[in-house]
Amino acid sequence: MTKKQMKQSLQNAVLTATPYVLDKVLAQEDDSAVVEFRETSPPKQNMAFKMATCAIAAVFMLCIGIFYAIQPKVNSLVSIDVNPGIELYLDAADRVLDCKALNSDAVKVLDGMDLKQKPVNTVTNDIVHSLIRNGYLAANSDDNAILISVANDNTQKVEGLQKKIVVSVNTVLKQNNAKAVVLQQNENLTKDLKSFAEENQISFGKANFVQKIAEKDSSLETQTLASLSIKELALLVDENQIDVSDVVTEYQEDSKVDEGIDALDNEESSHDDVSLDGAGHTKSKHSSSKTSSHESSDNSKTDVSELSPQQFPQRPPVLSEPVSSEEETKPANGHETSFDDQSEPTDDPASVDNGKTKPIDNSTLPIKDSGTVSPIVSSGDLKNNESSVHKDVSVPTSKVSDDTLVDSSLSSSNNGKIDSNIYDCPVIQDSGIYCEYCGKLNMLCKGRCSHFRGKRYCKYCGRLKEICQGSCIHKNTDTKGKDSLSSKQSDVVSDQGSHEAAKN
Amino acid sequence: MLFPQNRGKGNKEALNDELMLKVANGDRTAFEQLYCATQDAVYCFLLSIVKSQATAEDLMQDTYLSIRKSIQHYVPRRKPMAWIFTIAKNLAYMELRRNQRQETEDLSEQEEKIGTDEISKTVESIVLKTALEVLNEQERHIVFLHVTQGFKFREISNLLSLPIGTVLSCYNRAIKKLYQAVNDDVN
Repeated sequence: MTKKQMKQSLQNAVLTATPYVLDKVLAQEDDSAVVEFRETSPPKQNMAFKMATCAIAAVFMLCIGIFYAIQPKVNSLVSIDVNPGIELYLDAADRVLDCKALNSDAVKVLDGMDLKQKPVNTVTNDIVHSLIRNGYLAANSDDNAILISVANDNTQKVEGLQKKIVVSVNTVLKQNNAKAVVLQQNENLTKDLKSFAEENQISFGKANFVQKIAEKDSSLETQTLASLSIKELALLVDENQIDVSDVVTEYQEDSKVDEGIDALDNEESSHDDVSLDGAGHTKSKHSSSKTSSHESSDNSKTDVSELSPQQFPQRPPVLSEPVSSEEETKPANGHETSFDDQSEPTDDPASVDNGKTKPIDNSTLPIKDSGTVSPIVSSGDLKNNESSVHKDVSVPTSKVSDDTLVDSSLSSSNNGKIDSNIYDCPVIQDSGIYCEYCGKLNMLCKGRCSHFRGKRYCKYCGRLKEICQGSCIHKNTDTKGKDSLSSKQSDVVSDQGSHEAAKN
Repeated sequence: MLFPQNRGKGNKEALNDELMLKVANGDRTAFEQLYCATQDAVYCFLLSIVKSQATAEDLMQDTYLSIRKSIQHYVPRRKPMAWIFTIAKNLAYMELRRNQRQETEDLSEQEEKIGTDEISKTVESIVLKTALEVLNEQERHIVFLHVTQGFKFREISNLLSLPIGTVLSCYNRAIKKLYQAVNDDVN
């Protein structure tokens, strides 16, 4: 039998056996026993629906892939630390992708700020404004410290970014008449550094700074250091004399400005004008200028621009500084009354050297209206001013703190010049006329200098304390009894000689 | 009765949703057309499940009664045969389950009895008996529907919800198995 025959046989067998039941079905009226069939199976999806579903799924996955592909990647990491710690995640175009607050203070600082997709300098600007607004950076003060850290594999990129940020920070600080020690550092973000930062809830920049300090001074613990603010860390570094020059660099913001002022002073001195070289130097320049001024003190020509600050006449004795002999504490004749108040140890925190953390409080200084600083001078002194040798000091007229007091009569009479009789001002005599941090005149420094290296200069003579060693108090005390301008001028010459002798 | 080879082929094309709608409206003539178009397919389908002509005959009657009663629940999808096969399959499985619960009779013994009593000793009967014995249920479905009713493999695939490849391979395997068994019996 073939297969065909077999199939034919099977077909015939089945069809022949099929019964005819139609009559029975039609005859049966009572169908209550018949099972009713309900189609309950769900409708099956056709191929078109499946294809459409697959197509939609593919498009959806493609969209997700494209979405993640075009997402900007973090290129640089910047941390800004004061006490609030803030980390900025930047893309290749230095736009902020994300901003992370690392502690509760930072949350307060960033509250209500939308920083995403903004340039980093704009964001830094906003953050520093917020820091000042929330009191983490003191306006009109130089008692601030900021640590700016940048992490990126590209060194050139790091330098450019760092410069951009630091300039932005200093611009805001200047606008608010504030000054801060801006420490900048570059480091590679390692796992250990990251874990340490996360463990202590600090930024990677502060973590790096803390670890480097702890490495240099084994007596310090990283956990303790991590809890300190940047300002406290800077003071700690200064007190323990830890060399962190290879870790952080301090931004010298005024170098270009100082150079411009120096050039101006040199030009004025070439015309034999008596001008005060009190314009801001960087610290290194300041020390070098002092050295040169000492060397030139033998010249008969009295050019103030070449003199060191202690050579100015009528420097009052200030007894807040420790003195060795009783004689030194006594005020000079003729000015006894006016110096009585000054002979008492002052409670002014700015004049008391009770710690390196205390900056000079500029708010106690005499002041003036917009653009020019002028001291308060008595009427007698004003007369002396009119007949005195011209010893006015040109100062930048751009920024003056708002909390300074003004003698309007003087401001109008002096026409933006600072008179040398400012040293008669009891307030200035009490607190010193020089900044102890940079050696510049207070009215020029305005508290903008860096406090990072501590008080190194005599506030009465402006020289390094190692050179002065309190000698300036004798000279100033002796000169107080002299009223005439000629005697003051002679004192200048004698001061020069005495300081040279002391130096030798 | 029509000649078995030609019976039902002309009416298969008439089986559509319109005919089902007429049946649902109580049209007796439409029901007769439905019966003529599907009786062979329903019977061989039931026989391939229960392997008993008497049981298949009873189930065939129940199937058409159920179709008359349930025609209102028919959802027109251009697949009336699949709907009818579903009813027949459900009834057949219900019958098989009932028999298993009763356990009064062994199905194999019943089949043996049926095979000896009802199927004659002609060649056609031997082939049918051999097919019921050597083929499994899925192979019986495919062989009966393709060989006796002329369903295409794609139609069988749709009716039984099987992949077309499975249907083809299963059919070839079943024909070889049946051919060998039939030749052994005949010889």
